[in-house]
Amino acid sequence: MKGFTKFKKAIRPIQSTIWLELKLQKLKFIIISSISIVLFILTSVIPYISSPFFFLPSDQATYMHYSTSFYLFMVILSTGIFFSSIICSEYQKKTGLTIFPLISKKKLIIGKYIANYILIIGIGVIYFSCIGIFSYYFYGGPILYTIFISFSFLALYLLALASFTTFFSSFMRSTLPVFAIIAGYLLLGGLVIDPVLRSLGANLEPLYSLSYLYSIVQYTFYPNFSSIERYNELGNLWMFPSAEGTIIMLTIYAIVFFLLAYLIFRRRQL
Amino acid sequence: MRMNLSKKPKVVLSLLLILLLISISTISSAFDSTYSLSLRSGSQVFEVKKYDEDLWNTTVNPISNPSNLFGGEANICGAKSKLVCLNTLGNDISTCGIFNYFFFQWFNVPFNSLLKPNGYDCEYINGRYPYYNLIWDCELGYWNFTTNSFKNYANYTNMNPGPPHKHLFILRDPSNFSRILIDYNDFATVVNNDPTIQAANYSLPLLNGEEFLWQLIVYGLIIADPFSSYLNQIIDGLDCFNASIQENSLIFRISGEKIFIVEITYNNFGIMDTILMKNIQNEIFYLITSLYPQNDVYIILGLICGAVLGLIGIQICLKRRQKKEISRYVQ
Repeated sequence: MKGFTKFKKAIRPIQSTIWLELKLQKLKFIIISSISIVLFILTSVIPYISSPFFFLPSDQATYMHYSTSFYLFMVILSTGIFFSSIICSEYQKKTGLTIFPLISKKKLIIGKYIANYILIIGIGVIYFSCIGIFSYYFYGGPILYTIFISFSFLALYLLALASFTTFFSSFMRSTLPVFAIIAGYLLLGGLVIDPVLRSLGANLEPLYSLSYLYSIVQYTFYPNFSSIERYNELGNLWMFPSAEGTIIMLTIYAIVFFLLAYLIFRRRQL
Repeated sequence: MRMNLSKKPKVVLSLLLILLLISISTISSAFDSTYSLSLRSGSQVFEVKKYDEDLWNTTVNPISNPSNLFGGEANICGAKSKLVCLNTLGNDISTCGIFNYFFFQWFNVPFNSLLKPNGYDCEYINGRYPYYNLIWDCELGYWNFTTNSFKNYANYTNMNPGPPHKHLFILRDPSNFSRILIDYNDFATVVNNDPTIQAANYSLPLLNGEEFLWQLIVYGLIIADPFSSYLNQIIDGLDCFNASIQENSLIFRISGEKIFIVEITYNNFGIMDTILMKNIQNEIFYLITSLYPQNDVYIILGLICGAVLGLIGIQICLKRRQKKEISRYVQ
């Protein structure tokens, strides 16, 4: 009982941080959610409704796959906006003297991380709900159960990306460069690193690449996911990673980068 | 500069004239086409609502059941089938293409193994009947009648048609149906009189207008707007004396074991909405109705919008009350 009271007392500052962060980021959440809904409607609804001559994918899983292609931009935007300022804003605003007598650095980073993670997951829930609703609109029921599998991978992916962004936020001076690095790495990283490795003759599966790991979110919509060929020999391309490989890599990303971010944050003077 | 200014109204006037001419030509071309396509991307779920086996046996045929007509488990009450319209394209199709889609599929004609080797290939058919029909090519996904839940992949699509073939296009001009039937019957007569085909002990069935219309219905005829006029043109062209049109419904008298009536109602997209079969005593023995998932989505979206507006309203009320309380406190 004593231990539980102690634990409750210990997590109270984290709870307060989560609530405060959620309140502070409320407006951002509403704006980004609205953007993601608009993006979804513009890319996955209007083209098929406005003209009968626009090709609707032949099945629900393919429709869901295509709908999540554009969601990568929202992933970058939401993670960038919520996590790029997670640590460096404390330095920018010089909050050290005001906050740290009240809360430890560890509890602050955990509280902020959880709150922002809840928010980006919330945006994901909204986007995936739109996918579910409109796949029902176009294809009727039942909505594919694989949407939940795909969402689970998305949740893990966001966790890894959040840690990755937090890491950059821990030593950068302002939010903008963090955002630029994340977007650059995700959008252009694969385009630069993969051809270099391929030119060196290494036909490695690019498990290091976060943009490659994202493709599992799209491919797990297919009920026959486990039997789809992962390597395209004609194009000499890896299509998507295996479920096991993705779980291991994303967990490593999430833990390692979060720990590194915490260590840097702890050592840095505010 | 002055020159430019004086030229400007002329340029604007000529541009306006060009725009006017373009718009007039597009309007006139729009009026040229009698029928328009009303098919939209989306799904429709068919459900077998009623099946009276005894009445079916005594009225239609004791050795057949609805599965023979509509495929899958159409003979089980509660069985559902799904149709998804993926896209439509304006296109044209040769007589050979039409024969392939209609008659050869319906009657499992050995086109490749028997007709082609004996000279009755597409070149022959298109040479003898050199017409191209303007169509709207519809890409559909079709799930057979089943009592289980639908799988991700359709049973039939344009890429993987397989028998039985579902209608995949709409003829822009319904009067073409009569010409197609005449051409087919002529072709069937030629083929049936060929000694080589006779030696193979094969003959193509000859059809009258009503039989042709019935086959079109069974394989899910899709129509263009205005629907009643389109249907009227078909039954007039095919000389179907036992068929009549009431608004968007096609009523068809057929003789099986006894005479029975088939009533097919079309929806706003030109697809069958309900299929009702009854005897002349008006006793319904088979009924298929349609569900539209889009309607559920409109309700869900309405509820979501209502909830969001409600939340915004509550938030505004709370803020106003807070402001009032603060001002009261200050006073």
